[in-house]
Amino acid sequence: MTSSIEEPRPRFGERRISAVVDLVTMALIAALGLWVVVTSVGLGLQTSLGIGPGMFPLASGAALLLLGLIGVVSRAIRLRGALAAQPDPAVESEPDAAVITEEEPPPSEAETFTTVKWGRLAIAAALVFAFVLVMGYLGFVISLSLFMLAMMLLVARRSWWVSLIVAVATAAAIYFGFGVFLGVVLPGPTAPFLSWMNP
Amino acid sequence: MSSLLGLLHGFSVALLPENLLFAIVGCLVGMLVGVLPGIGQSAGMALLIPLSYFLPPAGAIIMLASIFYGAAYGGRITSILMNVPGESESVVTALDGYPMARMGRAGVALSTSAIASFCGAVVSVVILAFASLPLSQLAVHLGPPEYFALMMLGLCLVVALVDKSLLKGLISLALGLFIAEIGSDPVQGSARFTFGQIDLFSGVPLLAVIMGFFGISDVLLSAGKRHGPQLVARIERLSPSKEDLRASVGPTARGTVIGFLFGLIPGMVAAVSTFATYVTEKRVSKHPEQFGRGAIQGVVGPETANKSFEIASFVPLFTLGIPGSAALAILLSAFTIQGVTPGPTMFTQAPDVAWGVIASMVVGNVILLVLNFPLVRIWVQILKIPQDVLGVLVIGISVVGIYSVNNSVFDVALLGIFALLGCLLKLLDFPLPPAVLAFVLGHQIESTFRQALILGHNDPLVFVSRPISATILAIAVVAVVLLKARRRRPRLVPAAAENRSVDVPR
Repeated sequence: MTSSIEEPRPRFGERRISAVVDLVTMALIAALGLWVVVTSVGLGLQTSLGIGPGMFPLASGAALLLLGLIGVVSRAIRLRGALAAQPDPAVESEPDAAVITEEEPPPSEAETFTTVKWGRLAIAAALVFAFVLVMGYLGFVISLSLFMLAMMLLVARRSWWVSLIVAVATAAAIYFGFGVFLGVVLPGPTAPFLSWMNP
Repeated sequence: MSSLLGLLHGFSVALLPENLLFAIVGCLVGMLVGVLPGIGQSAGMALLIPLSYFLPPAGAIIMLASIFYGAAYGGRITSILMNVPGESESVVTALDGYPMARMGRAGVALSTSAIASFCGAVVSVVILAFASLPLSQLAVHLGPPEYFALMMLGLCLVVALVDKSLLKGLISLALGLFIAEIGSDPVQGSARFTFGQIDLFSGVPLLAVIMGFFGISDVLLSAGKRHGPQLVARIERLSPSKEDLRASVGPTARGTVIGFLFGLIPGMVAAVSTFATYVTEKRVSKHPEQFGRGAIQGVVGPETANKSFEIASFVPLFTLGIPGSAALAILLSAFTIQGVTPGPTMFTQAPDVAWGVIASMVVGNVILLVLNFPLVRIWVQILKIPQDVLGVLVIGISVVGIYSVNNSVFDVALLGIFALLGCLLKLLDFPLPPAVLAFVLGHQIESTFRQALILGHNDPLVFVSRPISATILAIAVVAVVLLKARRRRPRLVPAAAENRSVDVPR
């Protein structure tokens, strides 16, 4: 039994994509660091008592900027290497070549840029924000039921009736559990056609 | 009050019928979140925080603390029966637990590790009870430079321990510190990076970061994937043989010591203590070749270490007020809600809570041991709920949980933002534990740093001119150098343990 889990070697194309993505990320981190540094200076670095409110953010911003720049340089070198390298025919011809160990390792659940289902991820993320946006208008319970229904239908891809049962059951459980039993004030709807729901 | 009297007083609090009930609820929720991959201790505690508003201080903290240590019992069950660790620290348990289950010894693995965990937990609680009071009296003499040095030690360790690139670990740390700086400045109160949003003046809510980074982002990333644990080993015999028990004595003792020592260090990861125990057991064993093929020592040792670790991690919280992990930071916020300040003065100012919680750990572990066996089959049934449906439920419950803390829609929006940020960071292979711990400790780090400078008349040498802080900072530097020098050697934390579930940083 080995302590580390061996993973399939990434394909040539994937290596190039990941090198580009890494480079862009590091550039963005450096840019964030620069913004934090500039903003921190405006917050005041010194006061009569000692260091001011901007000094600590300045330190973390400078760290982000410096680390981001180091990342940009190292990733640029790596990307140049990846672009110059020739595809490895052994790996390319066996795209699914994975190291098979004697005992099956625990399944690795880490998603990568190439394995994640981007469409579903985008839908799920959009639904989360749509839920927050409509919560004030439709009220907590209705928007949560609709959100759960949409998640079940579009992301989990379940049938209508299963989705409906899960959505309604969860909303009811939350309404009675939190709203009635625990007395949490769940926001009511502001939409005129739902005004009858407000006490 | 001496430690012994304090502990006895604690039992009189913990054994009150209502507190027993809260402990049972906490243990059940803890085991449930431990069983379910993707929901960790932090999410479980966060969900019950609204309920804790309505409880007396001791009952509220007892309930939340029992979720904290109950999760370890749950994580063990899925590791052994299904090879699916619910928590990062249970990854090691699967190495020998699952082979034992395949040999028809699942029941023995479950019962022996439960008994060993219980023994380790009780010994650790006794040490906690007798060490906390003297340590807290000692802690009164520590000043801001020492607190700052201790928290820096935690941050250095969490960066050094993640087995990803050092650069990404450091970026994650800086990012966590930056997120902690959003809101009012802790010394003067001026607004920073709030974009004019009044909701951000009190800072980014702890739960939005923790639940967004771990629970929700895990669900979003696995969106549309139906795979779930399939193979469940049968449980035939529960009672361990004399031979099994004899073989477990050594691993239990070693696991208790290793787990407790690692647990004392803020920022340490529980998975490191379980893996260190596994490696130790393999080294001292006369039959190291049996490890990975169903050696009972490989299950008992790490599980005991895990329990001791959790209990020892209360020492820095109770004596210094420093939370060593995201889950303990939630517990700290629950203490604050109840008007109790963990730290050196807690034992004199709120003895009911302090001693009640310590005593309840013994009571809680008895409850967990008793509930463990009858509930195994129920947990297995719960795991048959498809993962994607479970994921949708997790999002729904998390949204209500985060909303109910401050009754704020803005917090729900922040939860969404941090969930997306968590997804991106995970996809880009950044380790999240440094960011979360830096965020959790950020405020305290900044305020102690600034107080230390005021104390030292703005001379930064104040951190190295005081012997205790200088020693702690030196240990931090040496630890980072040593741990990073080991990069090419066998890793301390298995790859699968990183970024899993909610409670990796500790």
